[in-house]
Amino acid sequence: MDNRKELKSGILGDLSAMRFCLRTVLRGRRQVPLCAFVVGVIDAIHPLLLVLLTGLVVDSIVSGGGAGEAMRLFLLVCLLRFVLSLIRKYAEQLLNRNLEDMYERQNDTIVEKNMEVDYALLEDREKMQVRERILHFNPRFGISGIIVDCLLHMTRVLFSMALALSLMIPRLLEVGRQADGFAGSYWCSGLFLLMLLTAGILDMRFLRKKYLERDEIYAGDKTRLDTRRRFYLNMYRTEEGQKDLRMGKMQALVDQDVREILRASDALHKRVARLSLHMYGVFSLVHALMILSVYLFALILGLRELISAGSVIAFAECIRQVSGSMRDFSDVAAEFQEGAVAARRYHSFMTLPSLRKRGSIPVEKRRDDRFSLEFRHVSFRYPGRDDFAIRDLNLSLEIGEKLAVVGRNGSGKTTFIKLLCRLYAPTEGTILVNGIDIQKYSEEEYRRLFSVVFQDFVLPAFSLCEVVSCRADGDTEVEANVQTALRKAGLREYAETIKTEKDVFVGGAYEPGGQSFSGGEMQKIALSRAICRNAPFVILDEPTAAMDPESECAVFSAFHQVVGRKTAIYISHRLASCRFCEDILVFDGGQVVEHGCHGDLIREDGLYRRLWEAQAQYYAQAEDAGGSS
Amino acid sequence: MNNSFMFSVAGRGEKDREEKKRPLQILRFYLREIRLFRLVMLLCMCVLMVSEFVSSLCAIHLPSGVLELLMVTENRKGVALRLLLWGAGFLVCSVLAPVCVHQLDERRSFLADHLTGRFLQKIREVDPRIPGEKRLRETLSSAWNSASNGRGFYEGIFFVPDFIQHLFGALFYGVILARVNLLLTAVVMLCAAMNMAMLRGARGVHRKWFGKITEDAGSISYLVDLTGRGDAGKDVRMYGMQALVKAKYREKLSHMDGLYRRIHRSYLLRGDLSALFTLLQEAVTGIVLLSRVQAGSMSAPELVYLLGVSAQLGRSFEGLLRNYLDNWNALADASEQFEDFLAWESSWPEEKRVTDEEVRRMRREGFELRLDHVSFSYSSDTEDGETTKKPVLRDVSLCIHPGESIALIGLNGAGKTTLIKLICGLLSPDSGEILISGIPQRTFTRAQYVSLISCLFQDHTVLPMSLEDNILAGMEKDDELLSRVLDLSGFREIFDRLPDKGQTRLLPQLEEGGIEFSGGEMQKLLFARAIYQDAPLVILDEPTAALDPISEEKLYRGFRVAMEAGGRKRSSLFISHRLASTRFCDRIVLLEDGQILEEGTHEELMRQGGRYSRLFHMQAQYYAREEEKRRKRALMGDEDIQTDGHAEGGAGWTTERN
Repeated sequence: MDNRKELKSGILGDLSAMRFCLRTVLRGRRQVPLCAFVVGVIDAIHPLLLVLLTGLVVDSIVSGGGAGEAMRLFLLVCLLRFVLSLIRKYAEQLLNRNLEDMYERQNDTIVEKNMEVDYALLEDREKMQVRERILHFNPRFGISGIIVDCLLHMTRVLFSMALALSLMIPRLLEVGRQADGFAGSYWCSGLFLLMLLTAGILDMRFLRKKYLERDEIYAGDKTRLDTRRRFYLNMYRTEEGQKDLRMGKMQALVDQDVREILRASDALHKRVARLSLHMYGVFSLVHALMILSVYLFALILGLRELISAGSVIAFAECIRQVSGSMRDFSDVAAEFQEGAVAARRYHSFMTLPSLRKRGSIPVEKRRDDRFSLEFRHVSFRYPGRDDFAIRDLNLSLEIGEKLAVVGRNGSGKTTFIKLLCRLYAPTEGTILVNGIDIQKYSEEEYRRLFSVVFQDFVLPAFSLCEVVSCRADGDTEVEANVQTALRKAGLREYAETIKTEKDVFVGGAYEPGGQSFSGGEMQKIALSRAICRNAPFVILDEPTAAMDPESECAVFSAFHQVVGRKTAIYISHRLASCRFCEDILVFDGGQVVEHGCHGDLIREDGLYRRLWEAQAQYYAQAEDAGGSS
Repeated sequence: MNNSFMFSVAGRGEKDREEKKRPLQILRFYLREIRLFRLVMLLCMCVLMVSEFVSSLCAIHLPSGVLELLMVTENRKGVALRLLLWGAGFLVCSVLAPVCVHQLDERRSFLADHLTGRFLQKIREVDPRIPGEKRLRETLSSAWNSASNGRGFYEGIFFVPDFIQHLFGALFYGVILARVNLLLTAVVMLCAAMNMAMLRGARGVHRKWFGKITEDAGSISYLVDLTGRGDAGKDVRMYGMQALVKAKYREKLSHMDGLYRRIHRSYLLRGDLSALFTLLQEAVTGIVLLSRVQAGSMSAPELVYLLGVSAQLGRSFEGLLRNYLDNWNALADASEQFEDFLAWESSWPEEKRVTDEEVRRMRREGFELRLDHVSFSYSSDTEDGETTKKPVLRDVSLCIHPGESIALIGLNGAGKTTLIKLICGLLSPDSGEILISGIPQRTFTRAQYVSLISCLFQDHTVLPMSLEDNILAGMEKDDELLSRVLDLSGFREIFDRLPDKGQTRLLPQLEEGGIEFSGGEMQKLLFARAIYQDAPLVILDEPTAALDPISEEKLYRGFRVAMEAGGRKRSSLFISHRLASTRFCDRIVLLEDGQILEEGTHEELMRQGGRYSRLFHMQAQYYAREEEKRRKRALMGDEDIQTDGHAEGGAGWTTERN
């Protein structure tokens, strides 16, 4: 996958994109293109045999050779066809079997790429739209399915053309030798073939132009309408998605928009239909004329007795095959075009840069888990945004203690975490851990420093043990760790089930029949995953947002146990929970505006006090009211 | 996420699914659906049918005609003329057929649009309900798939003309060949039928494993989706889950591969047998016809003609059966399910039993909402096909008086959200009644009822329209109200920051230059939407989970102001895990395990010292202790002025905007 070369434009680039795609997806399964080739060749020979046979049989009858010889010939050819079809069946079976999961194999490579591409690119809408288009392209066999299909058809078309021509040309040459007039002379045959060729080529160019035009409509307007249409349909896919719509007059809005979509799609359809009418109308007409002219030509030759009756049939049928192949050829050309565009798209996605390769310095192992952390003039702007999420942040922390980060919505708290985790690189400035720019560390090692629970954490729908350990190969030691982690996070009842038959799957998305957990339970699982990770830095971003007071309280009191002696960074809107931390950072507008411990900060008239009071007043007064009465 | 459909239908006539619909009925429905889409479609189909058939005829007559012309000596003109006619027919058909094919093909990709319209039009009428019976879920899922990507309907477009054309061809050529030799027709048909039987057997094997394969494909597509998401991407990277996910993917892939291996082995076996049948058919045909020639009862042109006919007969017959196998089942199933779906009925009455006048009065003056012994359970199908019921609410009675505000409290899973859904009319109770000023809920039409309630749900939907449209949510635009709502919700500061203000587009994945709001901003937007509706009952489900303390406090205050605006009586139901919210509610209802455990004012419940007071203390302890300390210090003259000043400032914010 190191193929980072830019693709050339034009057909050579198309071909190398297709080769790249096949090679990446097939992963050494060479038999697939081979089978496609074999099937294509046999498909070309098979019908021609019949044509040839008919001609031979007719000739042998007309020449009075008797039907006995004709019959022998006939049976022989039938047998040959049988053998060929057996070979073809085998190759086809092999091909189909491999084609069936081609889409899934293609997506295997996409999944891999998804997981190793720069995180910033994963959030880059434009890049990911490319991926969506790859995923939506031929969802049965994928891009390589089209390419293999194309290969098969191309082989068939080229082979049958070559075969037909090789049958015809000697005959035409022979005719040319005998001919006395213009009809049948070399000139005549040559001119005739040239005419056919020119017509075919012109026709194909026309088709290609129109095809590109149509593709543009499909890729542009049609795709846009489709996404919109699917958006509305998807809202009705789950009960949750459509609650809103059914209240108030939202539905009227949707109706209106859907009507708009249908109207636009109707107009679009008319355009496409007209285009396709031109495309295939002209194309088919030319080809029908070609076939008729061949018949006429052969007929004239036959009437002049330049070729035998059987040859006329064989000849005409040959040309029919060739013309048919040419028609197919244009279909193949269209398919090729389609495949090439998709393969280029695939290539561009698969060659997106991945961070993995960057940075190689190993992280210094500290037994005391103390790290120095420094932000030097760090500014950060999300790609495609004008405003800075973090502005000239200067921060130096000797960590080994608990740090809380508070602030208003959108003040840059989560961005701060993402930068620290190296999910994004700062736009300006550097972040240093132990005095070294974090971008220089080996990525894998650096990330091993952190146990993070993000605000929008995601748990994969695997078994609980796998979810918590994040490992596929769980041995007994891993299991023990998982159990301890689950217990610590308050999921005692699930700790017992690990690696037994009752081991549950987290949700039913991967394994149908998995158990669905409530938001609070999910948060506890995410927490136990962080505990199990056992990294020197623990980062918790709003870990109790979806929890009811009871679970929240349980997590608070387990906090120290969760974090242990490790460094912890804690983000919460529940300021009470931040009081565990010795050190509090108050963010505002992408900068740290206050820094200190709770006692100090509350005494100052700053943002922290305002935040605290906004929340505390209710509890205090209520407690008051409750207590005094 | 469970993607299964969660609907069920009320009042749907029980129709036994075992009793299969007749093919013609299905076809009629299907054609009606398609014809509705475009009449041209039918025309295309007919032309395609005719031209395909004629062109197959031409393909036989052209070579034999040419041969005849070469061989006959008299009446050459007649033969040439006939040949010319065939040629012309060929010309016309070979233009028409591909044109029609492609016209139909292009239409296919637009068919889903039409079906989407039909689907959406219907779905809004029926209730979103529990994943009840499996059968109904399947119907809905099938209809959804048809609407989404034309499943079953796509196949039909070619099925119908192909089927008819091949049927006609089989009859026509069958008769021609039978007139020469009945045995020949029989052999050709038998061989084609045997071939098909083989294919059918292999398909059977395929179908047997199909469910498993779909399951695997589902798991795989989940992984594709998961790893492609930004939120999951963080976790994958930070926890080094790459190896785990890859292993999981490969696991399913190799399982799938094994299944396909098995399936295609059976295809191969049967394919070899069918090649043998083809050999048999060709050999028999050749022998019979050539022996005729030998006997001198058949001329060369006739031989060529009949060889063509027999090949064509085989093709027609095979086309007929293959079409049936490949497309009919999908078509029939999808059409039937779609028709069933369109027959679903709404649980709301269509005619107005309550006058609009009355509804308007309720909107103006408020109403009393009474839940009378309401119980509700979610039913689901177990693996053995039995339906189990999981009770969520048990015998809940609750009355919300006009103008009263209620705080609904409970642990996760206590049934709060279900209760809201019942009140909103999204679900109907299993037993008990919901009364609006004494009138049963389902006496109103849906439109009337929903105009009485506005609700902010935790899972929200934003439409790909302008920001203003999303706040108005279909209500008429009232600049004054809009401005007030923006102030009260705290969305004003975000709104003013946007260059396009109300015309800002949302949902960047659908709208070019669309804006994406963060969780906190979104909650403010949804809150603005909820109060813009100006309904007499406002329900808020966890509206502050993602808000910072200052925004949270502003929302509380804004809410109180909005509820009292214009001196009207509006009731409210407020759900929050942040128990501070109970402070501005008249009454607290504590729900536990689907039952109301405690009910009363904050003071009453604190005095009771029950569940509520325990929960409250849990949350308040950290604040309270600190607050107490500070108050003591304040009493000593330390900093009381500032504190009070600030609290007043907070309150003043809302009054100032009013």
